[in-house]
Amino acid sequence: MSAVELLNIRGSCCLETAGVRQHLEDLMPGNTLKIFFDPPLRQNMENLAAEENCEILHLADEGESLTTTIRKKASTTKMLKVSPVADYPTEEGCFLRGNHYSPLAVVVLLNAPYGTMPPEVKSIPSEVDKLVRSAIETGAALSGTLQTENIGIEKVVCNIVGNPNIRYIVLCGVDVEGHHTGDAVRALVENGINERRTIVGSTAVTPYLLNVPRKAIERFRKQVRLINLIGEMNPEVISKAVWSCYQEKPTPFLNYMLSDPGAYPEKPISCRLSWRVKQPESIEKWELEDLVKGIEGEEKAASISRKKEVMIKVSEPEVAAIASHLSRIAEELSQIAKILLGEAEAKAIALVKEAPVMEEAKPVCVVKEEAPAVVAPAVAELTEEELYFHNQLRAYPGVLAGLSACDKDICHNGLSLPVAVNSIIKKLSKLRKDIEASSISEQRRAEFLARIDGFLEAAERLPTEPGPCQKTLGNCTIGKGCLATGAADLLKQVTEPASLTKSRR
Amino acid sequence: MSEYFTNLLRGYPVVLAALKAYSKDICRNCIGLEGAKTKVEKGLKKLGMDLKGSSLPKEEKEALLARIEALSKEAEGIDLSEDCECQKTAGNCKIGTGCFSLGALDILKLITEPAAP
Repeated sequence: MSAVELLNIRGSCCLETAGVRQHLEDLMPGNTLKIFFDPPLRQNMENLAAEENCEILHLADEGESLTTTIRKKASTTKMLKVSPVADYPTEEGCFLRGNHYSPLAVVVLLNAPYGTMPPEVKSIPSEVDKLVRSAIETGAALSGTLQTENIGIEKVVCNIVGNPNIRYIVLCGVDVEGHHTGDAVRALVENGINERRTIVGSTAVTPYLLNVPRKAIERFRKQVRLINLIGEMNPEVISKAVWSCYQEKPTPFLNYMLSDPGAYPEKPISCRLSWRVKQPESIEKWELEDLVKGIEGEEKAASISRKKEVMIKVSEPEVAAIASHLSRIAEELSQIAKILLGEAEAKAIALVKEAPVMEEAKPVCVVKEEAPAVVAPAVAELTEEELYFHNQLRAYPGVLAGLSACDKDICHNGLSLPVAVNSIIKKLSKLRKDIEASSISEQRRAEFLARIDGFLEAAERLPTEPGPCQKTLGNCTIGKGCLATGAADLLKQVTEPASLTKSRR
Repeated sequence: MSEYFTNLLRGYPVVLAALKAYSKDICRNCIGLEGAKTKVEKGLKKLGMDLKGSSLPKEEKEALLARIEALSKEAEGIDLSEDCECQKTAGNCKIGTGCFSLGALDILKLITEPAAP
């Protein structure tokens, strides 16, 4: 049962001086205060009760005085929420936006071979899509997929530090094979990065964060708490996690006790990827030290120059002079724009007039400035049988170039190179026969046969008479492998269409 | 020790020749070739660094460094389009799971002896 306090302020002319506000402020939620006061203060009493989040349960006129019973409403904790940076979310990616006052972001690990998704990730697996959407529908600020342990995480960092309201990251989905991105996020939150900007304790292959400032990474770690649900694919569980994060009162969820703690008490950081390193996956460990030195040097220089910029003081006459120059520049630019627009309009009119003639004269075609030397037919236009030949033939330029390179080495007098060359000649001859016997169009047949002729010509210039094995002679000491065989094995990269017989079916 | 460098330098011309040949195909627009080119360039750079730090006689070192430099220039000259994307994803390469550029790069893995100093 809640306690009732009594307060008699009869004779007082002001609620404030009588200490009513203080009493109401101190009143515990659910507790009531019974006040005796004079009728002229009735309106003020009602207003004050509302201001102090209280409700009037009872108001009685007792002749010369009034009696009221006021109860404090349930706690409405003052929770600090702030606006994110103006350009939030600063980094593009495969994510959906929700309410930016929400205290959490959901990161769904996208376990697909890297590079198989188009940039806009149209073909996102439906179960992953479900997770992303259910998180947003339940109230996440951001919800999206994450694939790489470097650029991907850097984008997450940028978008989180731009919104201090985000205090949790719910990490779910099956971890990315080969990348171990989920583990990298866990390790980043737990351990941070070392002096080589490598995530400490991560099992990922290239967990290098080279494109975001160190201070953003540190801030990210302080700002968020990780709800580690790696492996979880159930949208209901994710929705429960999201819901728990924005509760006002501590709410148990699995092993966590969650509630919205309000915004992180520091200004948001607006940062984007510097793209100093576009392909962190190709960074070798031995390169890291120099690379990081360069990056941190640049960061320091940038921060010093920013500080210097702030220090510049401009006097009023100087400001006036600059303003006058700028207005002149603006006028000139607008004149240039008018001239250009005039020209553009004139050109557009000319093009409209010429258009029908142009259409008749030339079909629309797009020609790349630097087209490859071998203009390959578009695979979509090929039949399955044609695709088989086309794919087989694509391998040979590399094979023959590799064998020619071997010919300039000790392989020239060896055994494996001629063996490889003879095998290639046989394969090309077989391919020729197959093409001749095929039902492909005459145009394609001629095209393919011409290419085979070229390859055969190149192959026949290479040694075909076997000599002694250079390994046996002790000249080749590279180990068990063989460069000529390796070059010939490039043919094995072609595995589709499976075989000619199948492609003919 | 020079055998280590010599053997590795025997592999690079083969790889480079194959990559150059594939740069005339759609691989020119492909991240596979782009990645392979980067790997070769870096591999040569590292080899140069290791060589400089080795105890090989000066003359031998200089000769090997000259070869590395020539190979690096050759690697640099591999023609690539400005915007590369995986040609399998783009639907232009349908050879299966294999990749000519990465296959060519793997030729270097055939050199296993002697072990790195």
